[in-house]
Amino acid sequence: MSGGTSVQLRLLVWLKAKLVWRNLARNKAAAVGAVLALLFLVPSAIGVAFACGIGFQALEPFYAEHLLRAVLLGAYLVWILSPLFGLALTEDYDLSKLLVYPITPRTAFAGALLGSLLDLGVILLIPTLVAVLVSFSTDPVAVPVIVIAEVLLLAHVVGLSQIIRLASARIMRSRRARDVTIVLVPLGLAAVYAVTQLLPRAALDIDWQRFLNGRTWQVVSYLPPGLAAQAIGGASRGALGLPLAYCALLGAITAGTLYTAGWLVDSLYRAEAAHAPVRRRVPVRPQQEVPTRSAAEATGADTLFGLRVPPVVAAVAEKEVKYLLRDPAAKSLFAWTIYMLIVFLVMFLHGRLTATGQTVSEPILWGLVGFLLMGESQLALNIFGFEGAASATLFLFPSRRRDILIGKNLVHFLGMCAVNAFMLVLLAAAAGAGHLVPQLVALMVLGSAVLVACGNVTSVLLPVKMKLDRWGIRRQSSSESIAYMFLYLLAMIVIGALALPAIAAIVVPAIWFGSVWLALTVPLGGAYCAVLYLASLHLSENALMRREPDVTAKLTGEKDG
Amino acid sequence: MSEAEARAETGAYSILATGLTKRFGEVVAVDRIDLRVGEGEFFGFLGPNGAGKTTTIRMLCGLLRPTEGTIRVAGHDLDREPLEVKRRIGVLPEEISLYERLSGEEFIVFSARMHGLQLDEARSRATDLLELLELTEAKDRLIVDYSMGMKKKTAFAAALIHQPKVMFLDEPFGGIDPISVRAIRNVLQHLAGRGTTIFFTSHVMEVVERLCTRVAIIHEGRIVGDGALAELRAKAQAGSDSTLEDIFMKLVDARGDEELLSWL
Repeated sequence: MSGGTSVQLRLLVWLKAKLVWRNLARNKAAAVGAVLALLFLVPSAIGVAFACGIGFQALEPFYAEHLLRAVLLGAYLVWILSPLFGLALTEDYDLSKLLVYPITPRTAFAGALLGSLLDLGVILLIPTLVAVLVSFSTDPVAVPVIVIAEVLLLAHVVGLSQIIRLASARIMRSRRARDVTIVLVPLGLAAVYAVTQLLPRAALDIDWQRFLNGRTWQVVSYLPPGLAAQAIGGASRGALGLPLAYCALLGAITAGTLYTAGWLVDSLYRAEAAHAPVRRRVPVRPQQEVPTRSAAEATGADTLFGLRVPPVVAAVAEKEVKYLLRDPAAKSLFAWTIYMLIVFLVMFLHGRLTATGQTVSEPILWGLVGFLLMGESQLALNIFGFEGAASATLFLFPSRRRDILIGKNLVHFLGMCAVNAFMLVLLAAAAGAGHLVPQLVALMVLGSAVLVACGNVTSVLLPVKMKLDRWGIRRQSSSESIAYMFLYLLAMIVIGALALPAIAAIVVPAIWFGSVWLALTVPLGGAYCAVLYLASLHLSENALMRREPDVTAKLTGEKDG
Repeated sequence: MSEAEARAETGAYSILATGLTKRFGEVVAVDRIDLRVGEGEFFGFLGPNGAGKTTTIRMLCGLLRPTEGTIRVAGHDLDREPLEVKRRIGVLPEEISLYERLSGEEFIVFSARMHGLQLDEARSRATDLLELLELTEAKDRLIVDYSMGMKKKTAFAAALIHQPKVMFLDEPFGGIDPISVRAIRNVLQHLAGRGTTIFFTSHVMEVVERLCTRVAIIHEGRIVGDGALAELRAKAQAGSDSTLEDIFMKLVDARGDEELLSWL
């Protein structure tokens, strides 16, 4: 290694350490996350290592080695799958930013590998690797073999993780790929949930002795964690030749992995250089006259969902509909709704199938309405949050703020009602409570109206910038997040109190006095919601006029004096 | 009411800012500046990076609340009648923030409708502007897939579509191809000729010198020069053949870097 390369490597490790430290020092959420990791994850990792150590010691050597394979395989899967879900076990600097320096791609990659030794994922893996070393070091000769096998496996895992990250980064450059991923993550989690509900029962039926000797497990044994486990197991039994052969095979796979990762970095570099935008030649046209049509003032009305509404209401509502259909944040919200639907469907159907056909109790279904509305509250209570920096554009328009609010409210209210009604019909059917559907839908409609009404006020007084990542939408972390959470909780209590008359209008007659009273109480509840909405519109319109610069500053993340 | 305010009220000044100040914590970004821009003026607003140009424009459009000072635009007090001001202005901010999940055409039509134009008229004007700015082929693509130059042209079209009386343009030519630069420049000159006030920032001195009838230079939050080129020359005590760049360097007290880079 030349002197220049070693200096560059030292610099890259320094850069990594600096970025990790800065992230902790400047980002309170990250610092809290690190403290939580120290308090919970590190003890958990030590606990897992202890449990593994006890298992290795207590089991017969044959089963201890299979347990070792399973443990290493589990760690391996967590490492390589986590980047796909956006959960970075490695805190990487952006390798493409190193493009401008005279550094080879391989040095950049080697620096990333060295830097990953500072990562939480590696730190969490170390206790288990130590437990393996202690438990299987029955012979002094076994110690170096075990150490070699563990180091090779660690290098392979880190390299493979880099490959997945780099490959996914290339895919994620495509806007469509990003949008699809955002939707797929919750659906993937829904699938995982459904599988975990079914797996325990399936696990009881498995003949484990047969499984351990079966072809599937044998295939797993020749994957890198299996090779490491076989090398370690063999060395602990006093063998040397076969364990070294396994180590050599693992070493070859690791070398191949590192070579591939280095090649990917290399191709990433070249692709970055080659992706400089090429401008299309456009024909030079004779200069055109500037459009000088006379301005038309807003005098007429447009049609929206069959209703005659002012043009601004129609424009805002159409924009909002397009956004709900196209914006990944909205898609993500919808995907999470589908996730919730699958979870509840599995829960209700599973309950009916296993618990002697017992139906889901009615209070759970009533509570489900509140749960659905709670899930949508991040949209309804923060209607400008999804606008982000574009709120500056919105507030530049001279339109009546009342029209902007109505346009947004109309779409959110109708959207929530449609999605929630669909879900309630399905879930009530799954729970064997189809007769409750009209009352549940009526409660949901009134609840949505209360939520939308209160949302106008909270959106103006408590706007929060929303950030989109592969896990979906979340609030931008900031030093104000704890204060915000407190205020949000307070707002939810107030909203709950304001919703009581609407809830009572449906629940009280449905449960205690008989459904016939609903003919009187539902219109009363509707009237209450209408009054509440008009009051909120008046309040929030005036507040918005005063607070627009503050709302914009919050949503664009600017600090104001 | 001062004479300047009376003139602003009658429309003689399209933009009148008095004692305009903006503080971010301890930092004073804009420090008690006064601005008077007449109707139909092509007004250049220059300054080094971090001088307070963008902060000033954001305050003049109502996107940022001043810490102190008053603003009147197109004859209306921004604090008391923000919607009346917004009805009469078009803004092209430096950092473009559009609805990126709308197509270019959808966004321009949306902007027109938000200004109260009927749908047919909005569509017709959008078609003209898209054609003028070479965006017709890309009109159905989502803005998120546009290049920075295309986004800027889209934002320019949206700022123009309602025929504003005052336009605020923050670095309008950055990242735009020469053909579109010429188209935009011609549109702006045409508008200024018809009485539209253009408040314009740029770092390209030649463009400012060529287009603007009057220039103000802001440095460290304060106006250090304001007037036509000849007046600025006199203030900077620069020669009669000095360019706007020479004047700018003198007024912002820019030092020569040659000695610092003696090793180069």
